Amino acid sequence: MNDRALAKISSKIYEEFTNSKERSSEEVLDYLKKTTRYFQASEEEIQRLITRHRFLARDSGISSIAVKTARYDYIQQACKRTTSVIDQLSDTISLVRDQVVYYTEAMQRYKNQLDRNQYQLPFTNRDAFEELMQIEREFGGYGYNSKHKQLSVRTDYITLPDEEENHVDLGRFEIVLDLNKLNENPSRRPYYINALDPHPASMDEELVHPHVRNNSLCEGEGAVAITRALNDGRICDFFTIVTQGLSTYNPDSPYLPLKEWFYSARCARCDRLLSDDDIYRCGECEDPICDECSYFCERCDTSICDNHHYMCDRCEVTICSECSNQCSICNNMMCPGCTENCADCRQDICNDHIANCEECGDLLCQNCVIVCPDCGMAVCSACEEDHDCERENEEMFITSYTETGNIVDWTKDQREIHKNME
Amino acid sequence: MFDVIYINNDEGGFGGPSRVAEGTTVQQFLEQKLGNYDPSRYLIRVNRAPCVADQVLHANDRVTLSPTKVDAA
Repeated sequence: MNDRALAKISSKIYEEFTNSKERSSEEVLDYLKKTTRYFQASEEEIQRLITRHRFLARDSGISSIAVKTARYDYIQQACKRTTSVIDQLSDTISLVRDQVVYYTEAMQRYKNQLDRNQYQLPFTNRDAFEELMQIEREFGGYGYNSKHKQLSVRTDYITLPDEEENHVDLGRFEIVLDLNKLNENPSRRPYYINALDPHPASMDEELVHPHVRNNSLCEGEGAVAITRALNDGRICDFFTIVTQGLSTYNPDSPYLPLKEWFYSARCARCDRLLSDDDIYRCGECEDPICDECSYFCERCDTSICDNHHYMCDRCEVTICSECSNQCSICNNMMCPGCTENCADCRQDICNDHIANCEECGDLLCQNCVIVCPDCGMAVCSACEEDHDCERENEEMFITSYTETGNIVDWTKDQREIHKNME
Repeated sequence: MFDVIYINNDEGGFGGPSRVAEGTTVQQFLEQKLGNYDPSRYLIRVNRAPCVADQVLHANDRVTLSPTKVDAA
Protein backbone atom coordinates (compact mmCIF):
# COMPACT_ATOMS: atom_id res chain seq x y z
CA MET A 1 0.00 0.00 0.00
CA ASN A 2 1.43 3.42 -0.89
CA ASP A 3 2.04 6.12 1.68
CA ARG A 4 -0.83 8.26 0.44
CA ALA A 5 -3.39 5.49 0.89
CA LEU A 6 -1.84 4.65 4.23
CA ALA A 7 -2.10 8.28 5.35
CA LYS A 8 -5.73 8.41 4.30
CA ILE A 9 -6.62 5.32 6.31
CA SER A 10 -4.54 6.35 9.31
CA SER A 11 -6.27 9.72 9.28
CA LYS A 12 -9.67 8.01 9.47
CA ILE A 13 -8.45 5.72 12.23
CA TYR A 14 -7.08 8.66 14.17
CA GLU A 15 -10.40 10.42 13.82
CA GLU A 16 -12.33 7.42 15.13
CA PHE A 17 -10.03 6.89 18.10
CA THR A 18 -10.10 10.57 19.04
CA ASN A 19 -13.89 10.74 18.72
CA SER A 20 -14.32 7.66 20.82
CA LYS A 21 -12.34 9.17 23.66
CA GLU A 22 -14.29 12.41 23.55
CA ARG A 23 -17.59 10.59 23.37
CA SER A 24 -16.60 8.42 26.33
CA SER A 25 -15.99 11.48 28.50
CA GLU A 26 -19.28 13.05 27.45
CA GLU A 27 -21.08 9.82 28.15
CA VAL A 28 -19.64 9.63 31.65
CA LEU A 29 -20.64 13.21 32.37
CA ASP A 30 -24.10 12.50 31.12
CA TYR A 31 -24.29 9.48 33.44
CA LEU A 32 -23.29 11.65 36.39
CA LYS A 33 -25.93 14.25 35.63
CA LYS A 34 -28.59 11.60 35.20
CA THR A 35 -27.54 9.95 38.47
CA THR A 36 -27.95 13.18 40.39
CA ARG A 37 -31.35 13.89 38.83
CA TYR A 38 -32.55 10.36 39.46
CA PHE A 39 -31.59 10.32 43.12
CA GLN A 40 -33.24 13.70 43.69
CA ALA A 41 -36.45 12.45 42.10
CA SER A 42 -36.29 9.20 44.07
CA GLU A 43 -35.82 11.04 47.36
CA GLU A 44 -38.83 13.27 46.64
CA GLU A 45 -40.95 10.25 45.75
CA ILE A 46 -39.99 8.40 48.91
CA GLN A 47 -40.69 11.50 51.03
CA ARG A 48 -44.10 11.85 49.39
CA LEU A 49 -44.97 8.23 50.09
CA ILE A 50 -43.81 8.44 53.69
CA THR A 51 -45.93 11.56 54.26
CA ARG A 52 -48.93 9.86 52.72
CA HIS A 53 -48.36 6.84 54.92
CA ARG A 54 -48.29 8.97 58.07
CA PHE A 55 -51.38 10.83 56.97
CA LEU A 56 -53.27 7.62 56.27
CA ALA A 57 -52.24 6.15 59.58
CA ARG A 58 -53.52 9.20 61.45
CA ASP A 59 -56.63 9.55 59.32
CA SER A 60 -57.62 5.93 59.73
CA GLY A 61 -57.16 5.94 63.41
CA ILE A 62 -54.32 3.51 63.73
CA SER A 63 -53.64 4.71 67.18
CA SER A 64 -53.97 3.42 70.65
CA ILE A 65 -57.38 5.10 70.93
CA ALA A 66 -58.64 3.34 67.83
CA VAL A 67 -57.41 0.03 69.10
CA LYS A 68 -58.91 0.64 72.48
CA THR A 69 -62.25 1.53 71.00
CA ALA A 70 -62.00 -1.57 68.87
CA ARG A 71 -62.80 0.12 65.58
CA TYR A 72 -61.76 -2.94 63.68
CA ASP A 73 -63.42 -2.08 60.40
CA TYR A 74 -61.67 1.27 60.40
CA ILE A 75 -58.36 -0.34 61.24
CA GLN A 76 -58.90 -2.92 58.55
CA GLN A 77 -59.39 -0.27 55.89
CA ALA A 78 -56.39 1.63 57.12
CA CYS A 79 -54.27 -1.51 56.95
CA LYS A 80 -55.29 -2.07 53.33
CA ARG A 81 -54.34 1.44 52.34
CA THR A 82 -51.10 1.25 54.27
CA THR A 83 -50.26 -2.01 52.56
CA SER A 84 -50.83 -0.37 49.19
CA VAL A 85 -48.49 2.48 50.13
CA ILE A 86 -45.88 0.03 51.36
CA ASP A 87 -46.13 -1.82 48.06
CA GLN A 88 -45.49 1.41 46.17
CA LEU A 89 -42.56 2.18 48.46
CA SER A 90 -41.17 -1.27 47.89
CA ASP A 91 -41.41 -0.83 44.10
CA THR A 92 -39.69 2.52 44.29
CA ILE A 93 -36.91 1.15 46.46
CA SER A 94 -36.46 -1.73 44.06
CA LEU A 95 -36.16 0.71 41.14
CA VAL A 96 -33.69 2.83 43.07
CA ARG A 97 -31.62 -0.28 43.84
CA ASP A 98 -31.46 -1.18 40.13
CA GLN A 99 -30.46 2.33 39.25
CA VAL A 100 -27.80 2.35 41.96
CA VAL A 101 -26.23 -0.75 40.41
CA TYR A 102 -26.42 0.81 36.96
CA TYR A 103 -24.90 4.08 38.01
CA THR A 104 -22.26 2.43 40.17
CA GLU A 105 -21.05 0.70 37.05
CA ALA A 106 -21.08 4.03 35.24
CA MET A 107 -19.03 5.53 38.07
CA GLN A 108 -16.62 2.64 37.86
CA ARG A 109 -16.17 3.32 34.18
CA TYR A 110 -15.59 6.96 34.99
CA LYS A 111 -12.98 5.99 37.56
CA ASN A 112 -11.28 3.73 35.05
CA GLN A 113 -11.26 6.59 32.61
CA LEU A 114 -9.60 8.83 35.19
CA ASP A 115 -7.06 6.11 36.02
CA ARG A 116 -6.25 5.68 32.40
CA ASN A 117 -5.87 9.39 31.94
CA GLN A 118 -3.22 9.61 34.65
CA TYR A 119 -0.70 9.01 31.94
CA GLN A 120 -2.04 9.06 28.47
CA LEU A 121 0.32 7.99 25.76
CA PRO A 122 0.30 10.52 22.99
CA PHE A 123 -1.80 9.53 20.01
CA THR A 124 -1.55 11.71 16.96
CA ASN A 125 -2.32 11.32 13.32
CA ARG A 126 1.35 10.43 12.88
CA ASP A 127 1.00 7.68 15.54
CA ALA A 128 -1.95 6.20 13.66
CA PHE A 129 0.14 6.20 10.50
CA GLU A 130 3.06 4.50 12.26
CA GLU A 131 0.72 1.95 13.84
CA LEU A 132 -0.46 0.95 10.39
CA MET A 133 3.14 0.73 9.13
CA GLN A 134 3.99 -1.49 12.08
CA ILE A 135 0.93 -3.69 11.46
CA GLU A 136 2.01 -4.08 7.85
CA ARG A 137 5.48 -5.17 8.98
CA GLU A 138 4.35 -7.50 11.73
CA PHE A 139 1.36 -9.11 10.05
CA GLY A 140 2.37 -8.79 6.41
CA GLY A 141 -0.55 -6.48 5.64
CA TYR A 142 -4.01 -5.54 6.82
CA GLY A 143 -7.47 -4.97 5.48
CA TYR A 144 -9.50 -1.80 5.85
CA ASN A 145 -13.19 -1.70 5.08
CA SER A 146 -13.94 2.00 4.68
CA LYS A 147 -17.69 1.42 4.47
CA HIS A 148 -17.90 -0.35 7.81
CA LYS A 149 -14.78 1.26 9.26
CA GLN A 150 -13.23 -2.08 10.08
CA LEU A 151 -9.53 -2.76 10.29
CA SER A 152 -8.45 -6.38 10.11
CA VAL A 153 -5.34 -8.55 10.16
CA ARG A 154 -4.80 -12.23 9.52
CA THR A 155 -2.84 -14.59 11.70
CA ASP A 156 -0.58 -17.36 10.46
CA TYR A 157 -1.78 -20.94 10.63
CA ILE A 158 -2.31 -21.68 14.30
CA THR A 159 -1.45 -25.10 15.65
CA LEU A 160 -1.86 -25.72 19.35
CA PRO A 161 -0.54 -28.63 21.41
CA ASP A 162 -3.16 -30.44 23.46
CA GLU A 163 -2.70 -31.84 26.96
CA GLU A 164 -0.84 -34.84 25.55
CA GLU A 165 1.34 -32.78 23.21
CA ASN A 166 -0.60 -33.81 20.14
CA HIS A 167 -0.89 -30.85 17.81
CA VAL A 168 -4.24 -29.63 16.64
CA ASP A 169 -4.33 -27.51 13.51
CA LEU A 170 -6.89 -24.73 13.86
CA GLY A 171 -6.16 -22.82 10.66
CA ARG A 172 -5.81 -19.08 10.19
CA PHE A 173 -7.90 -16.43 11.88
CA GLU A 174 -8.89 -12.91 11.00
CA ILE A 175 -9.07 -10.31 13.77
CA VAL A 176 -11.49 -7.54 12.84
CA LEU A 177 -11.46 -4.28 14.79
CA ASP A 178 -14.70 -2.37 14.38
CA LEU A 179 -13.81 1.29 14.80
CA ASN A 180 -17.48 2.22 15.12
CA LYS A 181 -17.67 0.27 18.36
CA LEU A 182 -14.69 1.78 20.13
CA ASN A 183 -16.86 3.86 22.45
CA GLU A 184 -19.40 1.20 23.29
CA ASN A 185 -19.82 -0.45 26.67
CA PRO A 186 -16.38 -1.81 27.69
CA SER A 187 -17.89 -5.22 28.33
CA ARG A 188 -18.76 -5.40 24.63
CA ARG A 189 -15.55 -5.82 22.75
CA PRO A 190 -15.12 -3.74 19.60
CA TYR A 191 -13.55 -6.64 17.71
CA TYR A 192 -14.36 -10.15 16.60
CA ILE A 193 -12.55 -13.22 15.35
CA ASN A 194 -13.25 -15.03 12.09
CA ALA A 195 -11.88 -18.46 11.32
CA LEU A 196 -10.53 -18.35 7.77
CA ASP A 197 -9.96 -22.09 7.47
CA PRO A 198 -12.27 -23.42 10.17
CA HIS A 199 -11.29 -26.68 11.80
CA PRO A 200 -14.19 -26.84 14.25
CA ALA A 201 -14.46 -29.26 17.12
CA SER A 202 -16.24 -32.43 16.07
CA MET A 203 -18.68 -32.01 18.95
CA ASP A 204 -19.53 -28.40 18.18
CA GLU A 205 -19.41 -26.91 14.69
CA GLU A 206 -19.54 -23.41 16.17
CA LEU A 207 -16.34 -23.90 18.12
CA VAL A 208 -13.39 -22.99 15.90
CA HIS A 209 -10.86 -22.37 18.67
CA PRO A 210 -10.76 -23.59 22.28
CA HIS A 211 -10.99 -19.98 23.49
CA VAL A 212 -13.30 -18.50 20.86
CA ARG A 213 -17.05 -18.80 20.82
CA ASN A 214 -19.50 -16.80 18.72
CA ASN A 215 -16.55 -14.99 17.10
CA SER A 216 -15.51 -13.69 20.49
CA LEU A 217 -12.19 -14.39 22.20
CA CYS A 218 -12.36 -15.13 25.91
CA GLU A 219 -9.44 -12.85 26.68
CA GLY A 220 -8.43 -14.13 30.13
CA GLU A 221 -5.04 -12.70 31.12
CA GLY A 222 -4.97 -10.48 28.05
CA ALA A 223 -8.13 -8.56 28.90
CA VAL A 224 -6.55 -5.55 30.62
CA ALA A 225 -3.72 -5.27 28.12
CA ILE A 226 -6.19 -5.36 25.23
CA THR A 227 -8.33 -2.64 26.80
CA ARG A 228 -5.28 -0.50 27.49
CA ALA A 229 -3.90 -0.93 23.99
CA LEU A 230 -7.21 0.10 22.44
CA ASN A 231 -7.55 3.01 24.79
CA ASP A 232 -4.05 4.26 23.91
CA GLY A 233 -4.58 3.78 20.19
CA ARG A 234 -1.85 1.13 20.13
CA ILE A 235 -3.61 -0.82 17.42
CA CYS A 236 -0.63 -3.00 16.55
CA ASP A 237 -0.21 -3.99 20.21
CA PHE A 238 -3.90 -4.82 20.32
CA PHE A 239 -3.63 -7.11 17.30
CA THR A 240 -0.44 -8.64 18.69
CA ILE A 241 -1.97 -9.48 22.08
CA VAL A 242 -5.09 -10.95 20.49
CA THR A 243 -2.91 -13.00 18.13
CA GLN A 244 -0.85 -14.28 21.08
CA GLY A 245 -4.10 -15.15 22.85
CA LEU A 246 -5.18 -17.15 19.84
CA SER A 247 -1.76 -18.81 19.63
CA THR A 248 -1.78 -19.94 23.25
CA TYR A 249 -3.73 -22.83 24.68
CA ASN A 250 -4.80 -22.54 28.28
CA PRO A 251 -5.84 -26.05 29.35
CA ASP A 252 -7.42 -24.70 32.55
CA SER A 253 -10.39 -22.98 30.96
CA PRO A 254 -11.08 -23.80 27.33
CA TYR A 255 -14.61 -23.99 25.94
CA LEU A 256 -13.63 -27.50 24.94
CA PRO A 257 -10.32 -29.20 25.82
CA LEU A 258 -8.15 -29.74 22.77
CA LYS A 259 -7.73 -33.41 23.62
CA GLU A 260 -11.45 -33.75 22.93
CA TRP A 261 -11.32 -31.77 19.69
CA PHE A 262 -11.70 -34.72 17.35
CA TYR A 263 -14.14 -36.67 19.42
CA SER A 264 -17.63 -36.35 18.11
CA ALA A 265 -19.53 -36.91 21.30
CA ARG A 266 -19.57 -38.12 24.86
CA CYS A 267 -21.50 -41.20 25.86
CA ALA A 268 -24.72 -39.92 27.40
CA ARG A 269 -24.54 -42.64 30.03
CA CYS A 270 -20.89 -43.13 31.08
CA ASP A 271 -19.44 -39.84 29.69
CA ARG A 272 -16.77 -41.65 27.68
CA LEU A 273 -15.38 -39.72 24.68
CA LEU A 274 -16.49 -41.15 21.39
CA SER A 275 -15.10 -40.75 17.92
CA ASP A 276 -17.38 -41.04 14.90
CA ASP A 277 -16.75 -44.77 14.57
CA ASP A 278 -17.52 -45.47 18.22
CA ILE A 279 -20.88 -43.76 18.42
CA TYR A 280 -24.08 -45.70 18.73
CA ARG A 281 -27.24 -43.66 18.84
CA CYS A 282 -30.24 -44.77 20.81
CA GLY A 283 -33.07 -45.43 18.38
CA GLU A 284 -35.49 -43.84 20.84
CA CYS A 285 -33.87 -40.72 22.29
CA GLU A 286 -30.98 -40.43 19.79
CA ASP A 287 -28.49 -39.91 22.62
CA PRO A 288 -24.95 -40.89 21.69
CA ILE A 289 -23.88 -44.01 23.57
CA CYS A 290 -20.77 -46.16 23.65
CA ASP A 291 -20.71 -49.86 22.83
CA GLU A 292 -20.66 -50.76 26.52
CA CYS A 293 -23.76 -48.74 27.30
CA SER A 294 -25.74 -49.78 24.26
CA TYR A 295 -28.21 -52.63 23.88
CA PHE A 296 -29.47 -54.12 20.67
CA CYS A 297 -33.07 -55.00 20.00
CA GLU A 298 -33.07 -58.68 19.11
CA ARG A 299 -36.05 -58.16 16.87
CA CYS A 300 -35.04 -55.18 14.73
CA ASP A 301 -31.33 -54.82 15.61
CA THR A 302 -31.69 -51.15 16.58
CA SER A 303 -29.22 -49.86 19.18
CA ILE A 304 -30.90 -48.57 22.31
CA CYS A 305 -29.75 -47.00 25.56
CA ASP A 306 -30.45 -48.42 28.99
CA ASN A 307 -33.35 -46.02 29.48
CA HIS A 308 -35.16 -47.35 26.44
CA HIS A 309 -34.47 -51.04 26.37
CA TYR A 310 -36.92 -53.65 27.58
CA MET A 311 -36.62 -57.30 28.36
CA CYS A 312 -39.43 -59.64 27.39
CA ASP A 313 -40.93 -60.88 30.65
CA ARG A 314 -41.44 -64.33 29.19
CA CYS A 315 -38.47 -65.19 26.97
CA GLU A 316 -36.07 -62.48 28.32
CA VAL A 317 -34.85 -61.23 24.94
CA THR A 318 -33.83 -57.55 24.69
CA ILE A 319 -36.28 -55.45 22.76
CA CYS A 320 -36.86 -51.79 21.93
CA SER A 321 -40.13 -50.02 22.63
CA GLU A 322 -41.14 -50.33 18.97
CA CYS A 323 -40.85 -54.09 19.20
CA SER A 324 -42.40 -54.48 22.61
CA ASN A 325 -46.03 -55.18 23.35
CA GLN A 326 -47.74 -54.66 26.65
CA CYS A 327 -50.20 -57.30 27.77
CA SER A 328 -53.51 -55.58 28.39
CA ILE A 329 -54.25 -57.95 31.27
CA CYS A 330 -51.02 -58.13 33.29
CA ASN A 331 -49.28 -55.02 31.80
CA ASN A 332 -46.01 -56.90 31.37
CA MET A 333 -43.75 -55.95 28.45
CA MET A 334 -43.34 -58.79 25.99
CA CYS A 335 -41.71 -59.37 22.66
CA PRO A 336 -44.05 -59.86 19.69
CA GLY A 337 -43.29 -63.59 19.79
CA CYS A 338 -44.79 -63.91 23.24
CA THR A 339 -47.96 -61.88 22.64
CA GLU A 340 -51.06 -62.26 20.54
CA ASN A 341 -53.75 -59.92 19.39
CA CYS A 342 -57.27 -60.34 20.73
CA ALA A 343 -59.66 -60.91 17.82
CA ASP A 344 -62.39 -58.95 19.61
CA CYS A 345 -60.79 -55.94 21.28
CA ARG A 346 -57.56 -55.98 19.18
CA GLN A 347 -55.44 -55.45 22.29
CA ASP A 348 -52.14 -57.24 22.93
CA ILE A 349 -52.25 -60.17 25.31
CA CYS A 350 -49.51 -62.41 26.59
CA ASN A 351 -49.72 -66.15 26.25
CA ASP A 352 -50.68 -66.50 29.91
CA HIS A 353 -53.90 -64.58 29.40
CA ILE A 354 -55.09 -65.85 26.09
CA ALA A 355 -57.95 -68.17 25.22
CA ASN A 356 -59.42 -69.60 22.01
CA CYS A 357 -62.96 -69.26 20.81
CA GLU A 358 -64.18 -72.83 20.80
CA GLU A 359 -66.40 -72.13 17.82
CA CYS A 360 -64.14 -70.31 15.37
CA GLY A 361 -60.75 -70.76 16.98
CA ASP A 362 -59.99 -67.02 17.17
CA LEU A 363 -57.60 -65.86 19.90
CA LEU A 364 -59.25 -63.88 22.65
CA CYS A 365 -58.20 -62.06 25.76
CA GLN A 366 -59.82 -63.15 28.96
CA ASN A 367 -61.97 -60.05 29.00
CA CYS A 368 -63.58 -60.97 25.73
CA VAL A 369 -64.26 -64.64 26.38
CA ILE A 370 -67.95 -65.45 26.75
CA VAL A 371 -68.78 -68.70 28.51
CA CYS A 372 -72.10 -70.36 27.84
CA PRO A 373 -73.65 -71.25 31.18
CA ASP A 374 -75.38 -74.29 29.73
CA CYS A 375 -72.67 -76.03 27.79
CA GLY A 376 -69.68 -74.23 29.30
CA MET A 377 -68.31 -73.45 25.86
CA ALA A 378 -66.01 -70.38 25.59
CA VAL A 379 -66.83 -68.32 22.53
CA CYS A 380 -66.08 -64.91 21.03
CA SER A 381 -68.70 -62.19 20.68
CA ALA A 382 -69.21 -62.99 16.99
CA CYS A 383 -69.92 -66.64 17.69
CA GLU A 384 -72.07 -65.87 20.71
CA GLU A 385 -74.97 -64.77 18.50
CA ASP A 386 -74.89 -67.96 16.47
CA HIS A 387 -74.20 -70.17 19.43
CA ASP A 388 -76.87 -72.84 19.37
CA CYS A 389 -77.24 -74.92 22.45
CA GLU A 390 -80.29 -76.00 24.31
CA ARG A 391 -80.65 -73.50 27.03
CA GLU A 392 -83.38 -73.35 29.56
CA ASN A 393 -82.27 -69.97 30.61
CA GLU A 394 -82.32 -67.38 27.87
CA GLU A 395 -79.60 -65.36 29.53
CA MET A 396 -76.06 -65.86 28.39
CA PHE A 397 -73.44 -65.76 31.12
CA ILE A 398 -70.27 -63.91 30.63
CA THR A 399 -67.10 -64.76 32.39
CA SER A 400 -64.75 -62.06 33.37
CA TYR A 401 -61.79 -61.87 35.58
CA THR A 402 -61.47 -59.50 38.47
CA GLU A 403 -58.19 -57.78 39.24
CA THR A 404 -57.43 -60.48 41.78
CA GLY A 405 -57.91 -63.14 39.17
CA ASN A 406 -61.20 -64.51 40.56
CA ILE A 407 -63.73 -65.54 37.98
CA VAL A 408 -67.04 -63.75 38.24
CA ASP A 409 -70.08 -64.80 36.29
CA TRP A 410 -72.31 -62.02 35.19
CA THR A 411 -75.47 -62.02 33.25
CA LYS A 412 -75.52 -59.49 30.44
CA ASP A 413 -77.87 -57.27 32.43
CA GLN A 414 -75.70 -57.53 35.50
CA ARG A 415 -72.67 -56.61 33.50
CA GLU A 416 -74.36 -53.50 32.11
CA ILE A 417 -75.34 -52.46 35.60
CA HIS A 418 -71.82 -53.08 36.85
CA LYS A 419 -70.33 -51.07 34.02
CA ASN A 420 -72.63 -48.16 34.75
CA MET A 421 -71.71 -48.32 38.40
CA GLU A 422 -68.02 -48.17 37.54
CA MET B 1 19.57 10.48 32.56
CA PHE B 2 16.66 10.70 30.17
CA ASP B 3 13.14 9.34 29.75
CA VAL B 4 11.98 6.48 27.56
CA ILE B 5 8.38 5.36 27.21
CA TYR B 6 8.02 1.87 28.54
CA ILE B 7 4.92 -0.20 27.71
CA ASN B 8 4.61 -3.66 29.22
CA ASN B 9 1.72 -5.57 27.71
CA ASP B 10 2.42 -8.42 30.09
CA GLU B 11 1.36 -6.42 33.11
CA GLY B 12 -1.87 -4.89 31.98
CA GLY B 13 -0.35 -2.86 29.19
CA PHE B 14 0.24 0.22 31.30
CA GLY B 15 2.70 2.56 29.70
CA GLY B 16 4.59 5.55 30.94
CA PRO B 17 7.89 7.35 31.07
CA SER B 18 10.83 5.66 32.71
CA ARG B 19 14.18 7.20 33.69
CA VAL B 20 17.20 5.63 32.01
CA ALA B 21 20.94 6.27 32.34
CA GLU B 22 22.99 7.19 29.30
CA GLY B 23 24.31 4.16 27.41
CA THR B 24 21.75 1.73 28.81
CA THR B 25 21.05 -1.13 26.43
CA VAL B 26 17.66 -2.77 25.88
CA GLN B 27 18.75 -5.86 27.81
CA GLN B 28 20.01 -3.81 30.77
CA PHE B 29 16.85 -1.75 30.81
CA LEU B 30 14.60 -4.80 30.83
CA GLU B 31 16.72 -6.47 33.51
CA GLN B 32 16.23 -3.39 35.63
CA LYS B 33 12.49 -3.57 35.03
CA LEU B 34 11.88 -7.30 35.18
CA GLY B 35 14.86 -8.83 36.99
CA ASN B 36 16.06 -12.04 35.39
CA TYR B 37 13.70 -12.16 32.47
CA ASP B 38 13.52 -14.74 29.72
CA PRO B 39 13.70 -12.88 26.37
CA SER B 40 12.09 -15.80 24.57
CA ARG B 41 8.87 -15.04 26.45
CA TYR B 42 8.56 -11.58 24.90
CA LEU B 43 8.29 -9.73 21.64
CA ILE B 44 10.43 -6.66 22.25
CA ARG B 45 10.12 -3.59 20.09
CA VAL B 46 11.95 -0.29 20.26
CA ASN B 47 10.20 2.49 18.38
CA ARG B 48 7.85 -0.12 16.88
CA ALA B 49 10.70 -2.10 15.32
CA PRO B 50 12.39 -5.34 16.39
CA CYS B 51 15.64 -4.74 18.25
CA VAL B 52 18.77 -6.50 19.43
CA ALA B 53 19.69 -7.01 23.07
CA ASP B 54 22.64 -4.60 23.05
CA GLN B 55 20.81 -1.78 21.29
CA VAL B 56 21.45 1.41 23.19
CA LEU B 57 18.40 3.38 24.23
CA HIS B 58 17.95 7.06 23.45
CA ALA B 59 15.75 9.76 24.89
CA ASN B 60 12.04 9.32 24.12
CA ASP B 61 12.54 5.84 22.72
CA ARG B 62 9.43 3.74 22.98
CA VAL B 63 10.11 0.27 24.39
CA THR B 64 7.24 -2.19 24.02
CA LEU B 65 7.12 -5.60 25.60
CA SER B 66 4.47 -8.09 24.52
CA PRO B 67 4.24 -11.64 25.88
CA THR B 68 4.53 -14.45 23.35
CA LYS B 69 1.95 -16.41 25.33
CA VAL B 70 -1.31 -14.89 26.53
CA ASP B 71 -3.49 -17.28 28.48
CA ALA B 72 -7.01 -16.80 27.24
CA ALA B 73 -9.83 -18.13 29.38
